[in-house]
Amino acid sequence: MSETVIQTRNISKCYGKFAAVSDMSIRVNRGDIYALVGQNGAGKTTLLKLVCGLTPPSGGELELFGETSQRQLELGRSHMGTMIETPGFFPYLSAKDNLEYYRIQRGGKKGNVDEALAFVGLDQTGNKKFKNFSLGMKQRLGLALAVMDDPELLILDEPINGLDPMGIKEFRDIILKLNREKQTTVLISSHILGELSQIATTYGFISKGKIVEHVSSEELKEKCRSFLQIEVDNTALASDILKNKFSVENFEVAGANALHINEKYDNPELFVKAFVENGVMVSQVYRSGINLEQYFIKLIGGSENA
Amino acid sequence: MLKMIHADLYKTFHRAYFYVLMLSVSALCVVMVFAMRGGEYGNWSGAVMTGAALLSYPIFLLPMITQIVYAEDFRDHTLKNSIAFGTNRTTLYVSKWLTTIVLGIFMTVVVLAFYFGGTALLLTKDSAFQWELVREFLLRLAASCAVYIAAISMSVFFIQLFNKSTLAIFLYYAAFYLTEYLLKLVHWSKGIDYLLKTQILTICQSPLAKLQTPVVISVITMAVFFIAGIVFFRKKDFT
Repeated sequence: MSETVIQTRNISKCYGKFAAVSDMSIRVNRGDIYALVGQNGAGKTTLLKLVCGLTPPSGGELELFGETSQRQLELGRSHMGTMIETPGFFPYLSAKDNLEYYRIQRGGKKGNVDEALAFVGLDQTGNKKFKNFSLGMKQRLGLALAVMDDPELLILDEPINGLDPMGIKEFRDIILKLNREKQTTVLISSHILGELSQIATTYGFISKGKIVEHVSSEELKEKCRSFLQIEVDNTALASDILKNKFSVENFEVAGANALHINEKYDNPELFVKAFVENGVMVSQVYRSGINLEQYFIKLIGGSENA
Repeated sequence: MLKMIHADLYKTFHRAYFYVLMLSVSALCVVMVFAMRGGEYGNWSGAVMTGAALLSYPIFLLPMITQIVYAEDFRDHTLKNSIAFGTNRTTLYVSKWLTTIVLGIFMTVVVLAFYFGGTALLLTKDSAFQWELVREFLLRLAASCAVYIAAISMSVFFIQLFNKSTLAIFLYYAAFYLTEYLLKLVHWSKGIDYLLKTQILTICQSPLAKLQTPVVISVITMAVFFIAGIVFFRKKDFT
């Protein structure tokens, strides 16, 4: 089977004249945890719905597990577990009966329902009906349905909405466990960027229906790394001091008056002391850097767009 | 497709509403039989003839079954799960349509069992009663099934067209009971001959020899709504 699990080629979805998704091309490889990052209305959910077949595309091509024909896409989707927007279940049925409905529909094994419920911690809910569940329990049941029958690919849209901090941690552990132990590929969208940064291996940044950037988590870490910023009046002399006196090579001159030292040093005050002794005036020293949220805001063009 | 039908039957049989609906109608039948005692129709032949006259009433109940099988899937956003798991949309649509028919048949059998069971227990066998009357009733019932299935197709079509079950049910009843007046308003009374309401009344009241035309018109109506429903369903956005 192909190593590429999902590939979209210039896929589009238009509602009248409005393009919710425009010429979007992404590639998700087996074993990836691919995070879709974008502001509200950026097109994340629409893209996920296109992948899941919930809405027909207006243009472009979708490939799942290396196949593009309608029949093969449907077959590919039978290996998927999904949770798109709010979990949809029958309010008058219990958690077990709701999952049993889908187990029968998919022809899954009998034990899968109990296994899935135990996996998300809902095995003790008994005959409590779905309509009486808390938001967090509903999300958990949605996740139970998604992971039932051991899917090769998980599609999750804002899956941690409504979960408490404990639930979020448990959810993260579940995703990582599935990914590491069963090589489950995950395509996930969330507004909680801090959470995404703890699990994602690849990021796709979306804005106004278009992919703005793809990066691996390593590349993103590199882009978001922290550094020591020293503002001086003579960057050339300060650079020489760093190189010759401290053997520091991993630094760069940023603008006319600043140096960025990318490695961590235990006693940065020694740099300041050496600069001052050699006639370099130091105006500010501080540690700086950006997190995923700041990187995203910068990428889409400032907070007014976020 | 059988798995889909099985799943929908599982869901319905785990729902109190379905039993309440079925038993309410059945109880109503028994009450009616009880009320017939001592009257002009208070015997077996009278009950069979009354039964034939009542064949138009299930039309009222059909939207309640399509509601359980189909409309609630839209309301509760459960169809998206089935589609995202790779279920072919046509298969999904057809399986729900078939499930509605299966449940309709099941309900009919139970209600008729109560009606005729009540008749056997509470009414007397009169001299006018012949098994030919029962055969005639069953033929009318079989012909009525064509109208019922056409009505199911129409109800399912309205539900998936509007997503709102209340609007769909209103349109269903309006299509049945107001179209006649609408056609009169536009001076096309000939069109009344092709309405489902006309077909079910013909089946209930006309001689057996005249049942063929209503069945054919019902089958055509069913095909139109069924195909239109599939076409819309295949293009539909699910949330």
